[in-house]
Amino acid sequence: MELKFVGIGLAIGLASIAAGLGIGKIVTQAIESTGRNPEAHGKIFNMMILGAALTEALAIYALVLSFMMLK
Amino acid sequence: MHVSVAAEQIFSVFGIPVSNTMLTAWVAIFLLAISSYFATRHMRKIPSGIQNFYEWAIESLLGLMEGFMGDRKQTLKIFPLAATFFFFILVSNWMGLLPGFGSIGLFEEGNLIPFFRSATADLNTTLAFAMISVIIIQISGVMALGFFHYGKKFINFSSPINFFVGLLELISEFAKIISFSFRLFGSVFAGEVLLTIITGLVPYVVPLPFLGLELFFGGIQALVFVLLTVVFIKIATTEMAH
Amino acid sequence: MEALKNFGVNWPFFIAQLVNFAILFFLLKRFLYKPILDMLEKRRIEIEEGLAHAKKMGEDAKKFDAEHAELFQKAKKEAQAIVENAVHSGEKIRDGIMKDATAKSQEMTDAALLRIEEEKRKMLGEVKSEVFGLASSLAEKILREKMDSAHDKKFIEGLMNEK
Repeated sequence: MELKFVGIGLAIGLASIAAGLGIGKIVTQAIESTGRNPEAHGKIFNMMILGAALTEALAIYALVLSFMMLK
Repeated sequence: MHVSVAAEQIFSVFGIPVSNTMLTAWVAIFLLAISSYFATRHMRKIPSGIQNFYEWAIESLLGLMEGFMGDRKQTLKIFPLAATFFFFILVSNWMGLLPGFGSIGLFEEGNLIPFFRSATADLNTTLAFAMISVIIIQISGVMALGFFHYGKKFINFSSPINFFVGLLELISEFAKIISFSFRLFGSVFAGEVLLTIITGLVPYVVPLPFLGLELFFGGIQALVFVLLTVVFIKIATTEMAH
Repeated sequence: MEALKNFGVNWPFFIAQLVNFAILFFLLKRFLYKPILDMLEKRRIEIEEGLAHAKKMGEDAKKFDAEHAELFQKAKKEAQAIVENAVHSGEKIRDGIMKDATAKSQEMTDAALLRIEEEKRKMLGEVKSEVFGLASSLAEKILREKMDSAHDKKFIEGLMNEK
């Protein structure tokens, strides 16, 4: 029974690590490109938000899965 | 401390159950409808006050969407839907930060049943939004490419690889519903839980930065929902490369 | 579906939220998007028209300016031509008048000289003949008794010529 909780924790934890790394990379690149081309700030920001949202989705799937496993 | 994931039923009208999130959704609808009615009651060439504000909001939203769609006519077609998402989500998110939300209510079996709860902090609402969004995405794809042409994206027997790709596409359409709904629900709900916990630990001053953060996230989440809807529609209406 | 229930998904609530969204959609479409988008479109068209108008005005002004300059140039040229013409004809007239005047004055001088000469000659003749007569009658009166007239005449003539 305890092993199940370990699995749930691992699922959401690993997914969060991956999503965090991914979002970190996206934001890094966005800031870099903003520094290189400050004029395109608005466009880069929107693209960054979009990329972050799509990456975040993976963590959300894990969250849903872990909740499903919980019950 | 008890935080309920589900929205609670507070009363029922003619046998229809009314939850606290439905109540706040009505408040949000009322606020938006009244303010927009007053904004556009006497339209003036040189806008001022609330008309100016709404014009600014709509114009910037339209510009943003046009940047992603690339076509003004198509943007105008989906604009009412996307903008309604935006305003509803934004107002609901920010309403959840008002004092009294989640704290005024009745005790039932030792648990507080709040009267007000942000509409987007309820999976029913976000799931409804996600369903609408994904259904609209499918409809616009079918309208732009034709039923069979669009369907070929999902069910394709030309080769085993294409068949599997189509299967994945089909799954990803359902995954869109989940990601849409759980992203919004998760971030708003988690934000409220966070605020509740912080306020419970240190009631004064300390929650303020978190309140500002939630204000920012509320706006970002509304924007993300709209942008994702627009981008998915763009992808669905664009012909595939091969 | 069972998992969704854990999150509080409740079909009546779900349907109610769908209806809520639909209500908001139509309300906002009626009261917000339609008037404001119409207004934005109207304003855009107005601005475009204004810009086109301004552009046309500018072009007109430029054309007008060009016409103006051309007209000015033409008028200047014409004025110059007129002045030149006038100067030319004036010179011509002056020359003519001068020539005429000189010719006339020459003629007049010539005529005057001629008449003076003639008068002089006439007067001289008259004087000569009168003096001659006077002298001869005077001498005749004086020397009637002394000399014969032939001799005297010669002498007197010699005197006269000497003078």
